[in-house]
Amino acid sequence: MALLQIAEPGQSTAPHEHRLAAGIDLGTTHSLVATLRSGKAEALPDSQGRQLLPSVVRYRANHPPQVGWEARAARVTDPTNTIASVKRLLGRGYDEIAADAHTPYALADETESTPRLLTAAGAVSPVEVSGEILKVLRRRAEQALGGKLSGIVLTVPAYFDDAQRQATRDAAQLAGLKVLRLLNEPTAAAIAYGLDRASEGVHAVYDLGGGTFDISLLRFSKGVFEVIATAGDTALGGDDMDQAVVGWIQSQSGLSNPDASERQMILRAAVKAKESLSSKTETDIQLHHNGRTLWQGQLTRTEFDSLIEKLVRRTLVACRRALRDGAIEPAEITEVVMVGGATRVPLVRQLVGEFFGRNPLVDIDPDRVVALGAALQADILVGNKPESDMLLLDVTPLSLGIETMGGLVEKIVPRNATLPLTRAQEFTTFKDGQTAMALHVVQGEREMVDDCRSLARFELRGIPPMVAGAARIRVIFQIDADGILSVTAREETQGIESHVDVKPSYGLKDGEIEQMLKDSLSYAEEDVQQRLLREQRVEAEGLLLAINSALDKDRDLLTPEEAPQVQQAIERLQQASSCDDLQQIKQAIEQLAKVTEAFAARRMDNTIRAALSGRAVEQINKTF
Amino acid sequence: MQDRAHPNYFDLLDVPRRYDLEIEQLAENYRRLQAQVHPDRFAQADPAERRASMQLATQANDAYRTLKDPVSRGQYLLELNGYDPATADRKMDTAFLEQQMTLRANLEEIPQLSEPLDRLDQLREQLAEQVKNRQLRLADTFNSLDPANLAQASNLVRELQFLDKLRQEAEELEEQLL
Repeated sequence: MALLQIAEPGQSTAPHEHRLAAGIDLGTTHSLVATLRSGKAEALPDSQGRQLLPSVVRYRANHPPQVGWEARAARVTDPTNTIASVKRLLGRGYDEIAADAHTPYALADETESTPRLLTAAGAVSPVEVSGEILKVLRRRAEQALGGKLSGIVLTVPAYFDDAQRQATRDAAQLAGLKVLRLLNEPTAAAIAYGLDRASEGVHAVYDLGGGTFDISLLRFSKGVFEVIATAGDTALGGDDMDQAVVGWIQSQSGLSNPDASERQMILRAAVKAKESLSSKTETDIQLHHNGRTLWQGQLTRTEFDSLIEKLVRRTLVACRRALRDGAIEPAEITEVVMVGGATRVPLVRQLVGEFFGRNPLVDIDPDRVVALGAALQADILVGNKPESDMLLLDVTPLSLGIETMGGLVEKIVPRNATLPLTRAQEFTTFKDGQTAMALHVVQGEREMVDDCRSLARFELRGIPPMVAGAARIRVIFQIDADGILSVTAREETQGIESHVDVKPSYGLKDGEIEQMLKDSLSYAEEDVQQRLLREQRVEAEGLLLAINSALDKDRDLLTPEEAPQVQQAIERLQQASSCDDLQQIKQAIEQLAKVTEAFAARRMDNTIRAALSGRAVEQINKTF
Repeated sequence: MQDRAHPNYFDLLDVPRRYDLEIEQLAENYRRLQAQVHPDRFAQADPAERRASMQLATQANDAYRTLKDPVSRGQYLLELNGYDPATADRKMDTAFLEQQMTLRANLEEIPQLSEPLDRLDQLREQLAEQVKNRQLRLADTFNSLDPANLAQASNLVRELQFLDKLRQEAEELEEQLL
């Protein structure tokens, strides 16, 4: 248990229980699951030996959905019911999806709380579609490992905003998976590379996937990965290259108004041409439909390069921004790592190589490297490796702020700030006698609220009436190591407070998730209530084990007043766990956590003393 | 300053309390501290311990961010020395202000010049030179134990702030030019 770790890292005396964990890369075009086997991360294959699972779901009336290769094969014959690249829709609002010209799917009525796609099996949300993909990967992992997964690390593009991250978490919950952490894809890749080579220095990870682009700079030093800067574009990827080729084929062939099925045919030809131009300098393109050839032509690499050069140049602008944010010179970069299928395109490798002045590394399969890194982090977070040296210091991907007068944004947390963090800023009233203040939390780099993502709104009431500008309202942003944001507003003279845990608007509401869980086939065998009860019991057990080991070691750190309180809380939790009342277990857990808080803080101080070895103890006593 | 909620950043990161820090040492100590206290080290611990770990990791991040940056490090040292910039004489050196105005005018002209990127590089080198000069003087000022020097240190920190703002504007201009 981690508690023991405080005193002596790695010297666990608790019975070693190996928990099952996995890393999942939920990709735009492909997804995959990886896990640690005898210390090495490996991707898990399906029964036919295929590791990649196409991120495609086909919905049919009165049948369960098809996921993966079968669904992908049906894209041409059944395009409107076959959902591909759903990651591009995750966490997006109705307007954004409707505005995306490439979306071939019909949308359900706008009044729905979350946008839904109309299929033969009814309306489905992007979260549900992603959940279907994750269910397949969960079954694959549980079959391979022979048991239930305790938790997973799920990867997301570094530039995903909070709504997209929350939607990703919701999809995992829907698939019955516990998310230990959302990990940025480039960071996962750097972990896989860095640990594989034990290469210290600054890594630039260039990640061009199907639908998103990310650049991340990380420093790896003595086991600690420090994310220095990230930048990117959530709407730029290999799919855009495909679309550029589609446009070229349409103009060359005169098929300017294809129907849904013809469009799929052209898209497949475009993808094939792009892939083949990775190794060849020219390729033949043929469009076949219903047994006859509609058109044939030839695309050279030079022509292809000119079609996509603008897209690739856009990625380099983001690279420059990341270098600037991190105050890093290109010469300081020790390695450039390529991730994502689109980095197979020769022009991408060439331009990126020129930009950083060194040849990019491509020797870990760019399709798998992200899942492998996620598996390594999952194994640590699930508690299997208390002795591990590896630690990841992650950052905020986007700036966070508050709406002020005139629709402007006051930034409170800048992008690329290391987690966990707390930042505060003071605001004041603008009217005489104002007793309430509306707070609007937004995310993004732009200066106008309308150009940023709205995350939450809340109110602070009960401000004592004063003249305008006299009240002091302190707004505090807190982000934990998981990247979860909470915002507090406090009036300083009276101490009144208002607080919001940020749950973005495009995620699903708690009730909706529960309903979906109930509806979901995978939970037919287990009542939701039973599952929640079981989870609480596991948590109670873990807490009791942790507290007892801490007491074994450091009982002398308890004050005479605390000792009986702690004992009482332990007994109460033991009793509560043996009954079937979910609420009682929850309360008993909270109670025990509360009475051991000061004790934990004292133990933590000891930890720092150990960490800052070489200093006189008296000196530290003065500090704390 | 010296209570648990607000530990002294220099002590927390185990570096000497001075302006001319070894940044490499600072970074290494920061990483070593995070390796011990970061919440990921307590992923399976109880909530109280996780909260304590989060508080410490947050402080470590604050400390590193404050001490790493030449401007905020200067401000923090002034604060530790009990110097309140609000009560200080805010009059700045006229020669410095004139020089700033010239630099700013030069920056604004750059887009109209031929070879704007080269001119921008020259200007940034000038800026870097001035920043370095003030950092050296600031280190000397803080290292001398005379309290009368704090006003001078405060002025130097403010000059650094001006120069930093100009540097940011130069970077923004570069992005526009590219």
